[in-house]
Amino acid sequence: MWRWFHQWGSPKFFYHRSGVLIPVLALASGLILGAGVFWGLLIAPADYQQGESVRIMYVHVPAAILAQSSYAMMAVMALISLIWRLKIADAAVQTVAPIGACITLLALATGSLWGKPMWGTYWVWDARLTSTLILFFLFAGVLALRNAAGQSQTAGRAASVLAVIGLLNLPIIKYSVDWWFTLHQPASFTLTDRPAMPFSMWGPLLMMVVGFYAWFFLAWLIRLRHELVKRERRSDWVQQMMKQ
Amino acid sequence: MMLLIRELKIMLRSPAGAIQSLMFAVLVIALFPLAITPDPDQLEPLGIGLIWVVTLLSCLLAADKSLASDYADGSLEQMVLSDYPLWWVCLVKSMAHWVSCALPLLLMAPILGGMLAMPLDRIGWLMASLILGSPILSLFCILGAMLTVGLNQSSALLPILIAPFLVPTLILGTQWATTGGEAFYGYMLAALLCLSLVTLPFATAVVAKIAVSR
Amino acid sequence: MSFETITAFLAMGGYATYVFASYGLTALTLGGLLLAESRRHRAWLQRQGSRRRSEEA
Repeated sequence: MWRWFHQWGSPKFFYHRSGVLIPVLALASGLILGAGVFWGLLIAPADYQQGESVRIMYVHVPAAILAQSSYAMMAVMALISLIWRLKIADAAVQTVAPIGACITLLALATGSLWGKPMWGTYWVWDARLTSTLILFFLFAGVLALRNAAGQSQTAGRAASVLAVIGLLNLPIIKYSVDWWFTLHQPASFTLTDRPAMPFSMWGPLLMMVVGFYAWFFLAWLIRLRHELVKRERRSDWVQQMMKQ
Repeated sequence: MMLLIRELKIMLRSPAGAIQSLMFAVLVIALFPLAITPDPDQLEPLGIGLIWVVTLLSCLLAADKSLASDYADGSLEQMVLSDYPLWWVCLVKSMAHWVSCALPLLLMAPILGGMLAMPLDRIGWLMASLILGSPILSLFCILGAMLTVGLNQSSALLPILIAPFLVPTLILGTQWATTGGEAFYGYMLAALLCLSLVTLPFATAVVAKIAVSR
Repeated sequence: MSFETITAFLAMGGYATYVFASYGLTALTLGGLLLAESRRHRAWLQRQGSRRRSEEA
């Protein structure tokens, strides 16, 4: 079983085997996101309090969920890269950081656009928006350190340590920001609790979350494969592939 | 033990760093009434937060320089390779940073508070919160310094990296002081201090090994 | 359908700017990142190809 895992640690194996996933993910994300947008924008009902502006939830909440879980994934990859010294894990950390940062920005922007009709201002220092902002700074830190330290292996390790420390601090940061201010709505969707929304609303929301994840893995995979080929460009398998 | 004494001796030999941190803090605090208003009623509620932020900034700025000379003359590498447990070295560095940067600010807090029209009892709680909270700041700042040592990048890199981690300390410290010592925040701050003392030197040690292999 | 007419849909109960701006930003970000990645990869491959050709020449 371990051998199966070990195989995926080789850049060559990963590159060749993951190629098939790209059209699959592209099709899946396109269909799911398309259906989700159609459902959320056109079919789902308006909220009796927020009116039509509740439809922004169908893009903001998936972005926020993805922002947090992409940081967690980055930190897990960082841990793997530190413990097992896998080059591919290091490449995974490097490639996911910009995507995560962009998604966090999107979450902030859509949250702000949702806030204006809901609370009357574009920015409010409530718990959720503030900790999303801090999450963005955490991403920016990893990116900045990577940028400053160069492409060497030690640079990767330093950035990975930062990512892991960030993950360990994340609960502390989140709780302290919660204590500091609570104005935001409670989480609209959790896996264990019964949702407070009717199916006509959490249905499209779930679909959009799944669609966002599909898109995320697609974008990450494309980026990761590019990074692997770049790093291994002197090796035989890359040279052979480029001759074709 | 010897290491700690050595660090303190080095610091006492050139107090310039500590004096500069102090001057920076006083200057920034002075800027706020100039920029906003000299009205004491408006300044007073802001005082605790401003002094905390200034302390945070001073610590970040001082951290940048703190390991630079050690890296340059190779003594950092010696410390990593030496028999001293590396976590102790990092803890000592943090203590040295605290003594040279945070402690002077702590002692200046009454004066800074006075500049912002703070009543005496609030100054007392401010100092209490700084006593518990500033060591946490130092521990994180040394971690950040170790992450960025040897990189010739802008001095804004370390603050960018470390500032998010300082947010809980900032929130807890200011809340504790503002609420006049509400026990919950005090306990949380103390817990954070213990957690940081126990974990951060080890984390810094891990980073030190990476930094030295650059 | 939650909307009676297309005009009602475009008006979005008065929140049109916010809703369509959000969805537009999302489309731009998601689509833009994908496009940027593919373009970057293809451009790099081309550069490698032309570099090899000039080395072999």
